[in-house]
Amino acid sequence: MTFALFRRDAALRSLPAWTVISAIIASALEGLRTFLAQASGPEGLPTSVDSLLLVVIFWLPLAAYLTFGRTNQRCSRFDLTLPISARRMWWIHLVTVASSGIVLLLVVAGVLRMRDGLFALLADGSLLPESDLAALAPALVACLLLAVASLQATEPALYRIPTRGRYLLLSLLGSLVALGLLIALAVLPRLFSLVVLGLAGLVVWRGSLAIPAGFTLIPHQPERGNGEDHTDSKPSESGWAGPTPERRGALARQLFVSTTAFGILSRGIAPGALWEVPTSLAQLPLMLGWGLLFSGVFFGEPDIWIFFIVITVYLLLALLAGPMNQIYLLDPLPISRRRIFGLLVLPGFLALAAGYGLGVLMTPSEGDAGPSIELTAGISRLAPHYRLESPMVRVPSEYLAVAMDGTLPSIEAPWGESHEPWSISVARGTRALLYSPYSTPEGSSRQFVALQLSRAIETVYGASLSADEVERRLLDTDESGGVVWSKEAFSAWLTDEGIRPRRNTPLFPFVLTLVGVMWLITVWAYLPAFRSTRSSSSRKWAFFGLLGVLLAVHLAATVAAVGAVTRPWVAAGVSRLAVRRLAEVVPAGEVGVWLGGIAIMGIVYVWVQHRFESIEAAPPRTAQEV
Amino acid sequence: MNVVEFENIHRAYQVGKDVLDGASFSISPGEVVGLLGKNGAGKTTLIRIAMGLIEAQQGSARVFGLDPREDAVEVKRRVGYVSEDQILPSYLTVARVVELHRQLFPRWDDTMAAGLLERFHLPSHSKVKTLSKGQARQVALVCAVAHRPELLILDEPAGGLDPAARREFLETSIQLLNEEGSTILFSSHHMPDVERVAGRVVMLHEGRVLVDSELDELREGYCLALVPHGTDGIRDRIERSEAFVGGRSRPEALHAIFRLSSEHCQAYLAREFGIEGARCTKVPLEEMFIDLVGEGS
Repeated sequence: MTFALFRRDAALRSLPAWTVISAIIASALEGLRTFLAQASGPEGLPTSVDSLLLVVIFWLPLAAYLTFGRTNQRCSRFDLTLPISARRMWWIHLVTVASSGIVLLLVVAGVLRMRDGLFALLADGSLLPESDLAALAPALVACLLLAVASLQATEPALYRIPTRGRYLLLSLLGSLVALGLLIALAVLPRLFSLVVLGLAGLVVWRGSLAIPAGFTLIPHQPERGNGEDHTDSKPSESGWAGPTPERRGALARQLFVSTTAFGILSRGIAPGALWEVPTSLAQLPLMLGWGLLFSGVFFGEPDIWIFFIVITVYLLLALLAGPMNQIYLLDPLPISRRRIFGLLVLPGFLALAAGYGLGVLMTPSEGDAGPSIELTAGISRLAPHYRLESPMVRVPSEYLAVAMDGTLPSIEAPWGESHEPWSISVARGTRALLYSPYSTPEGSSRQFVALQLSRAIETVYGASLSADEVERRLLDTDESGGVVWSKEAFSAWLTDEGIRPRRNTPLFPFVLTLVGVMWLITVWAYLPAFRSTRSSSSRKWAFFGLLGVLLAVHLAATVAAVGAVTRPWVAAGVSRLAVRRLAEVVPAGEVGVWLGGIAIMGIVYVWVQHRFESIEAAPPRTAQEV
Repeated sequence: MNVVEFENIHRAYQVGKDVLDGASFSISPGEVVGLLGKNGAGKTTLIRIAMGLIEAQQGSARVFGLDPREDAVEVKRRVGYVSEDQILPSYLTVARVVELHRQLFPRWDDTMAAGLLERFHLPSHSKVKTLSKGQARQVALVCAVAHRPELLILDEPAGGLDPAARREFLETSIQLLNEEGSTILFSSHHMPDVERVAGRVVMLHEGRVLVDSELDELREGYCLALVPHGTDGIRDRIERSEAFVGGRSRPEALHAIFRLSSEHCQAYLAREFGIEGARCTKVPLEEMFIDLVGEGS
């Protein structure tokens, strides 16, 4: 019986989800720790700061679990009706929560070790100082037990501690106190952990004495003001309710929750639990902000954001799940399914597009930073993250070319001089190469460099300047006899000729179409879960499955970037190249590309909408386990 | 000794809004008691107090002479309980739910449980969440009766079931346990069910016991009088009279229920109020319910 109660404990049943959440939180925080370590220079982070970060990484998922992980549910209403003493259920629940907490600590430790290992493998050595996780374990366990004991000692008569203001405040304060204690214990001798363990034991003993023979459903004292109605008048299970003051309050709370980062996470964990259809509007500022970030305007490296396409689809899906589960509220109203589909899908996506567009407008044009052709060694802003030993003509990545079969054409001058172009693999493991038709490898003659510059000027600016003119007006020889060019002279020539700074070929239509199409296909894949033959749990599994796939693809892309399987600027360059080539062949150029992207999205939209019209959005079954 | 005793029970969920306001009654061994009342009258609250799921703020509740809060395990071991809202764990199979109960109740009767499962055609290996509402209620009933409880408490047991399922459910539960002399307390909105099954009726209104009577006595000892409108102050005088139980004003006449047989009622009205020729009839339970606690009463 003890084992049966243990297995049915709500805190244990929520553990699988919290394992994933803890891993995500720990992974994100570890990323921050790595970033800070990298940003703090060769010395790395001071040990004290690093230890503090480590403690926070362990404690934050645990505090979230203790506050939101159904640890307040000591037993179910079903258990209440059975002849089992409250004290027995309390003990079983206490042990369950404490054990689950230890499992989460192990998960976090595993994530840290895995991430460190992965970085060490990919980046030839860890960026972080060696941390002794085992030494931290006694303090972590002691603080965990104290926190669990303190929380479980509250409201001893109730089968479920009400998760309202007081409990949340208590959990928050408790978590902060425990965090402070943990920080202190991390630097104190281990003996102090035993003291905290003893304190936890005392709280448990005092708590167990206060447990009555049987739990009750509600507190003994009546509530003041608007409390939950526990009388036997049953509210209707579904149907449209007007905006009563209670609903307005709930709506305001949900708007708040939905606009916070936690909101996204909780959408992913509990689709529909805290969400209602009108609150889908709350995603607008969120997606607008994400669109801005996604455009790369704040980080100066827009190319890197191409790796965030999949996680953007993940976010859109996470935000959709709640409203999708509330469609049954709108279905009885005279609103067409097409309109509902539009309300569900479009606001978030359009907000994302608006944010992205705003970011693009705010991004300075590449031409403002100087000419779009360079002759330089080392790192060029036109080809970041790639260092060259000798000077070479460089152009923006969208003017490079791709050799799919890996065969590079030789670059030939009329006088017979020929060179193999500079190239880089599009993705490790494939034969495709991205190469520069304007490259001037080591050993190129002065005339060859002038010829390549002349060709580059014609392609990039669409202006003609002969090789002889280039050699005469722009090239010079340095002290070592190497060929150099005068950037100032080139800028002056551009001004004289009235040539305006070059504009980047936008990634915008490409990225937006890709996100839109992937997003709609994901929705298409989710819709079969809305059939009357499918249970609510299979709907949930479909949702989590899709989120899992998206997350896995995103992680794979990140690992690919970290492991130099493909470089962000190469991926972005190939994409820009595709857009530019497309703009050259379609009528109306770039506008045509835009219209093409919109048309593709429109076709996919109609296709998905058609499936949406046939879904069966039955109300969820009455909660069978409360 | 009474099986259930409620004495002056008070319970409020919000300050100033008493759901139970001094309810008192008791149930003797072997009685089948129907608990009636409007939504919000306090039926479920009273039942939950008897089960020890809620604590009374004033008054005392005893089940088998025990305090359902202090002796929660002992009381629950002797009680079978089915509530309207489904509380069986949805993720367990029927077999697991039954097995769980078998472990917890020493008097569990495997033969009875197996017989009931077969009678209801319940799929043992299906999870509770895949069952229909009626089937889930039947599983709960099997669990509630197969340990041969001394007291069966049914809170709106047939709510939401179709007529055939409702009849099957009630007949099974009552028939099974009545044979053994078990006590049954059940709440319901469905008057025909109460009339068919209950021996006694307790009607709650605004947290108090308005009517507590054997069903036969209710049929014979109460009557509905249709008092014509017109006489000034007659309504107030009737409402103050001792035999008046309740009533409501209808367009054609005042419907007043008296704790009198229909034969005595006419004479009583003539003697006390000077009303001659008022129509006095036996009261169907449903009419009584509507006239006593219905809207506008």
